[in-house]
Amino acid sequence: MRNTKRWMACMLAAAIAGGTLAGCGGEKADTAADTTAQTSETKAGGEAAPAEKELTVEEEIAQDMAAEPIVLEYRQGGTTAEIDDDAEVVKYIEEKFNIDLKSWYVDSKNYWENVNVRFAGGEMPDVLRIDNASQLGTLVEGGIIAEIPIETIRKYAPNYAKAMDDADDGSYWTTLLYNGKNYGMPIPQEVTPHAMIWRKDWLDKLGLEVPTTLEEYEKVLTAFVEQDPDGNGKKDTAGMAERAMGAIFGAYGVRCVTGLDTKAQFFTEEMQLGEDNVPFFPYIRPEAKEGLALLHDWYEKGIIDKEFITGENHGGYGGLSHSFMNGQIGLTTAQPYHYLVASTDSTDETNWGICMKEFKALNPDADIVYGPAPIGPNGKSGTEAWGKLGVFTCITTKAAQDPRKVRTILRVVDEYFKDTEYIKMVNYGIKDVHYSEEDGVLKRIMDGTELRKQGILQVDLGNTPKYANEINKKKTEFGNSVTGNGYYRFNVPPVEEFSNSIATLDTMTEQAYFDIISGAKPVDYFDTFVEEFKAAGGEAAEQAVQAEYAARLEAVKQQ
Amino acid sequence: MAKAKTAVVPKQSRGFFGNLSKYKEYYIMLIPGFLFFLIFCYGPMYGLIIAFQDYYPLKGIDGSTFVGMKHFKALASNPFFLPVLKNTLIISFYKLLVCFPAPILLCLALNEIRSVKFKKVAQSISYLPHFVSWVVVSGIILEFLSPTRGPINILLQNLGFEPIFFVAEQKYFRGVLVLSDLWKSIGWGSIVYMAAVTGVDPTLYEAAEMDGAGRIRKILHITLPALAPIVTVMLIMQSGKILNDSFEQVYNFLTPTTYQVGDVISTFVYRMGIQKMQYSFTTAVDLFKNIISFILVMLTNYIARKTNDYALW
Amino acid sequence: METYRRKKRTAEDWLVDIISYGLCGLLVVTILLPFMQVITISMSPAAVVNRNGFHLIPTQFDFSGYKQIATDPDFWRSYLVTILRTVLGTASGVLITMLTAYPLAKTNLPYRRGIMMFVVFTMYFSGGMIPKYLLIKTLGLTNNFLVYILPCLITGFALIITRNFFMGIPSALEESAKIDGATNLQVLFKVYLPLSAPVVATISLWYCVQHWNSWMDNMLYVTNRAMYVLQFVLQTILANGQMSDMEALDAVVIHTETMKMAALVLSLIPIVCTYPYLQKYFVKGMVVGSVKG
Repeated sequence: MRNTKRWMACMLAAAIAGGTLAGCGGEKADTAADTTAQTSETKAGGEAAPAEKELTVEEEIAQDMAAEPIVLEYRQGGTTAEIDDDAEVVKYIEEKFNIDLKSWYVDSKNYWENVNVRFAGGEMPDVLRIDNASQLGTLVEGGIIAEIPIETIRKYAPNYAKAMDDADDGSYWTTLLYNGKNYGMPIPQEVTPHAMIWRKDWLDKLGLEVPTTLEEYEKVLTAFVEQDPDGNGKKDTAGMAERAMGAIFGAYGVRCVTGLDTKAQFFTEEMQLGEDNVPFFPYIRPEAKEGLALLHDWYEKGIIDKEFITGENHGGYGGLSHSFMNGQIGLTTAQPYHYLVASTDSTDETNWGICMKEFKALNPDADIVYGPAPIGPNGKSGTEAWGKLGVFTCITTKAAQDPRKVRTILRVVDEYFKDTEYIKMVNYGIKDVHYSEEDGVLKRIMDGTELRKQGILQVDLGNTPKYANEINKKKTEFGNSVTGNGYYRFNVPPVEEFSNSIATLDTMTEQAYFDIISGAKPVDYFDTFVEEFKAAGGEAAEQAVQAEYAARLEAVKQQ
Repeated sequence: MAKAKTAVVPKQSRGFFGNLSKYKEYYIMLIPGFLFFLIFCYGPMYGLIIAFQDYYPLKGIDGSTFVGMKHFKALASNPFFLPVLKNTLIISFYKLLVCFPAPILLCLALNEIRSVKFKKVAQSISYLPHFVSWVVVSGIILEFLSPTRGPINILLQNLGFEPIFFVAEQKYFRGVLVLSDLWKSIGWGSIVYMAAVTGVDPTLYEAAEMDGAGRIRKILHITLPALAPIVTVMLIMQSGKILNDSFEQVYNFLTPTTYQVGDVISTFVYRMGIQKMQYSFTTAVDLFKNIISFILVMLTNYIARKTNDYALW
Repeated sequence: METYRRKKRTAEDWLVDIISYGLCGLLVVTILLPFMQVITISMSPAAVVNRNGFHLIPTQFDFSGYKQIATDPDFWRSYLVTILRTVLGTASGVLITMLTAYPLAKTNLPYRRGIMMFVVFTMYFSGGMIPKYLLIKTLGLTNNFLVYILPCLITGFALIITRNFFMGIPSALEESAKIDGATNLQVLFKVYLPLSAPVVATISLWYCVQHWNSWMDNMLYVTNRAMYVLQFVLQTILANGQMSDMEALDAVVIHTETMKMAALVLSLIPIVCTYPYLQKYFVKGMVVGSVKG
């Protein structure tokens, strides 16, 4: 045991000798996090370093591959099933990295609570994926996530580093910094903004075109209310509900509605990054008030379905809009692939996305059409988009104790930026067993839990540009062709002022927005809300985030 | 009762060990149960300390820093805390008022039903909702109360009224909570009363009949008194649940338009601690709730003991 | 009961009948309707499920929800584990509950109130998940079948109910048995148990349902697949469909609602089947009067 540890220490020492861990060994001792084990290893390594011969990365990898397989516990999202050891894809992954792949199943409800129970018992995985950067502080302070210097990443995951550099807007490498140190790998994602989806048969029946400006939107949506688009002789249709609201705010230049979830959400948690690179809370901007005023007006006119309060989704898969499927509303928002996958051809059943399938099952004769997001009075437009960086992959203090493990994890990450066949394998599995392929469009043919048992979607890193453009080329191109400007998610750096007040701010915002739209409070109540928002910590949080973000950008520039 | 017996056997005089040996057989019987509570209930209780710490799981209780009342202060100073506490109390009070007597009433009604088949079927069916999760129940109820499609609103509209969006309007929201809870709990809640009623000596009813008592009098003078001890016990237990709102239920009905009347402690804590490792904060809230609950139970028990013979202890 | 039939029905009889039948009838209807919805959805294609409005009677049949669940190899094994756990857990739970309740029903037992307080306290204060987890780990109960039984052996509530029932049993019965030379255990099993059918049935049902439905202990303490319980397996199947696609991956084929309802129906069947059997004892409690001699 002691010997292996020594050996591990030497291996890490080699890495340090490579000049890449410069400055990390000594400084680590004063990290608030009690990553005691890791620290001591590093120190020991530091002493042993001069005695050891330097190995090249290739030699290290060759050594790793020749040794006994190491166990690698991979904690992906909240919903993975446990891995079946005999599955072919699992074996493929295991052989590729000389590992024994393990995963935990933890229920997605109370996910973090349950994971934390295991942390407390001293159990942790080797790789841990977190949902957003604001969690970092707690996990680092709690001694769960270990530092992974950018130099180390560059050394063992050069393809990943290159992809980051290529996409970098100057802030990419700062995403998972905490107290000046890097704690993980944010993965660049190819994200498509949400698309506007219209009932084509309604538009056709009323002789209307897909609208492009806010005024035209209002005209068409009013027609949906007044002119009986479903032809049942009753005035029982509305224009839209909560999902399309994001685009209305987007026409005023603010990102105010987020998430395709069971309930409508105004999540303050997600700030917006201004064109001047300064993050801000969109919810308290005067532009948001204009959006609210319009939405309230539309609510009064019946354009907005009264049941937006309980949400378009009535259960089941979160992307479904039951209000849209059931002909209650004629406009909704979704990811393009939810409805049509690779082209605008809605007659081709193989082209139907999951929501389209359900939609067609209910309305065989109905049809949909994509439209542009509305253009606002100042020429702005856009819809919500998820973050350009996601799948925050972190290494735990347990894994950090073993340099071979760290190397292996970095190789797993790097492979996803290197080998297209590998990406295909971990995302889709084996052709005709797990997926089918037609005209370059891949389709899963196995249910989700079963797929995960087979090792698929267990070590994937999401929709990276390489994945999107090489495996899902058609889908990606199509998605981009039917959507316009996106308001991307801004990854808020972990500052205390933000995390202390955000829950309260969230509640205040939700309440105010619903009250204003539904008329329970007048539109001018917005000004009172803004004052209260600022007083409840909103102002301090915004300033702190702005200061931290500016400092990070500055630090990266100087490097 | 107890007093009369102690007069015969003065137990104070024997001392601790004297008592142990005198009632040895009884205490031996208590051992397994006692050990269970000691190990599995009291064992983990030192964990309550984390309410006074800034707790990080990996540092453990020994390693985390002590911060005193910080989390309790944070709770008290939160602008939403008082309204939330108020909502919790009001909703619980309504539920106590409606959902507590309902199973008793159901039990009395079931007891009066003479068709054994109907009684059995009705009873079995009444338990079913207990097993259905709130997600499912709320889905059904939202559909039922929908302002455009729900049968209630269609009826209202046919009668010439405006449709009402019950779950989104503050006036009706608590009513929805109380009634849906009633629907879900009435059958299951009646089990304990049914068990008590079946324990009643049938000769009592026969005797009452001889005296010419009608069915209502029999209910009032035989069935209800037979239920009295269990009703008292249940009431004492319920009084301790006043701060224990049902998260699953409220969460599935709550929308921002009804926060003002429907946001309760558990949904509030859920939002406060959402996906964050706010262990200490949530433990502090729990501890606060538990202390209040325990005081309430003690108090009700005390009152029950003063006013009748049936107390919890 | 026969006495009722011989007598002429009075207005009061009618009133009581109308109220009690009316009340129960109303309840049955309000409960049955939503349940018909649940059952219908469980066997309908997705198109029916997504349609607004009520689906009380199946118009189209599609058993893919059931199929998906039942073809899961983990499903049937977990069914067995759960049955085993429920039977053993309930039996030991009831036994210990009675054993503990018996002495506590003796009003002259010294420190009785203290012990009751000791029990009641645990109903309101608990240490939370982490300390409990650490305890279970220290006791070596992780991945041990006993973890399904020991930590949830008895509940304070069931104990109190049982004790109260015991307190209602005339002490003369115990005294006469003791004069005949019976020990306390004999009194408990030979005298109390036959009289306690209603309360034993009640707490059995509670324990039964508690064991049947619990899965958190599985998730936290058991990682060995062979020991998974039914509800946990259902959870893993269902959780998959609830995922909102934050990862921008195209969704996999799922019919969550149908599966959810099918899972509900499948997990309810054993409870529904056991219930009338237990209920029999509620009625048998009527015979209590015959023990006078």
